[in-house]
Amino acid sequence: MNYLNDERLDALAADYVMGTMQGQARRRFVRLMQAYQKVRERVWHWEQLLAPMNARVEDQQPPERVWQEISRRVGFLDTTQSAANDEPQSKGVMAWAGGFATAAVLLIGVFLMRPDPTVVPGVAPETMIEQVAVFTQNDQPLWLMEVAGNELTVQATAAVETSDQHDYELWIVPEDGSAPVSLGLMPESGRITRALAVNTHDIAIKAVAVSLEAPGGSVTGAPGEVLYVTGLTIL
Amino acid sequence: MDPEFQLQLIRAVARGERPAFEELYQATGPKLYGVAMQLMRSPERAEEALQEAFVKIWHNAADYHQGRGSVMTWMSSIVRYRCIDLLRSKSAKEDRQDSLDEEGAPELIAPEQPEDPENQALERCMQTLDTHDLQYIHLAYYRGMTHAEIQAHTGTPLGTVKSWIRRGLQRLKRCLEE
Repeated sequence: MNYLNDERLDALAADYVMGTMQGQARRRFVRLMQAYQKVRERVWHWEQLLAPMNARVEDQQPPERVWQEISRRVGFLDTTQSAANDEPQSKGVMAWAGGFATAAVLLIGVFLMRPDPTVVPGVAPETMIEQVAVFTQNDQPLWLMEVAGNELTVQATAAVETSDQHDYELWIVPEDGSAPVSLGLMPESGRITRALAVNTHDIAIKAVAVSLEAPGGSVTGAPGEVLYVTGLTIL
Repeated sequence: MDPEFQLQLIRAVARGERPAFEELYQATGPKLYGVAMQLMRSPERAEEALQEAFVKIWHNAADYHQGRGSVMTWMSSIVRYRCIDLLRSKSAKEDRQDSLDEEGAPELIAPEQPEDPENQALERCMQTLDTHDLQYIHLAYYRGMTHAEIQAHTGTPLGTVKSWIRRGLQRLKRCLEE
């Protein structure tokens, strides 16, 4: 079946944006979006065509607690309070990180030798990569992570298991034993670059970790099930 | 809120500027919460969807570009997809059937004189659709129903539901692109 036939693609993109596409078909279509610019653009076009329908929806004031919870989850609120609330899970990660010896980051050479990344708007091309980490499973690379200035770039490999039932979230585990700090969701495919919400250069970092979370990321502000832990190498 | 100002805000959010994020939330939260309430039909689940969407917006603001449409279009898509994922999750399905028949969900408002040219075009094009096409598009878009749920809700055969929605959307698209 040719997914990229224009008429069929248009119908699929409309189904996706409407929300009527579901289950396996939706997951397959998300993979197509990740792979093909043409598919993404068709989806964006439908999003823009249908967005004015939202004008018919009456505004409703969300309760104050919604903003408080968002602030907590993105790390705006007092981390001491957050650490106390999330103590059991934080301890779990610390135990994990405690058992983590210096990572044999065998792939860093490969990582650093790859061609220069696409220049991201707002980032000076000469910005040097300062910190790198590679998450692996059975010696198979899953994600390559780098920090340059205030920018975090993460590249997922084909070995990452994709699902719309969960998300992967990246954390730094501070050396001083304080609660892990979220660096946001990990891509399940392709490459993302975004501004860091925390300055990783000012924190003594024991390890970086990836946790398995419900879609959208941790609801508690602390990592869920920690899947991978590795060292952050300073170059 | 002025789309140009929203663009400035999202760029500031992409740089990690917290006050810009709060301002963006205060300005867009009521509309996006309305969208989430319309789909989720439960304050608790609408709050959950809105929270998760804004966490995603904070972490992914740098991914926004104007090819995605206005900032508001991009943000509402994130909220809608989050709601749809939650609606399709196993736990939500269990109490979903009850809420489909519930009354008291937020009403849709039809602006008498929409100021935005895009809204004017949509209102005009909506009026060109058959009643059935329009009804089914509404059930899918505003209530987040699957084809099968629309079939159960209206008693219309599944194939007919699919083809009417598809036909309605294609007509809407042609009209909007004219």
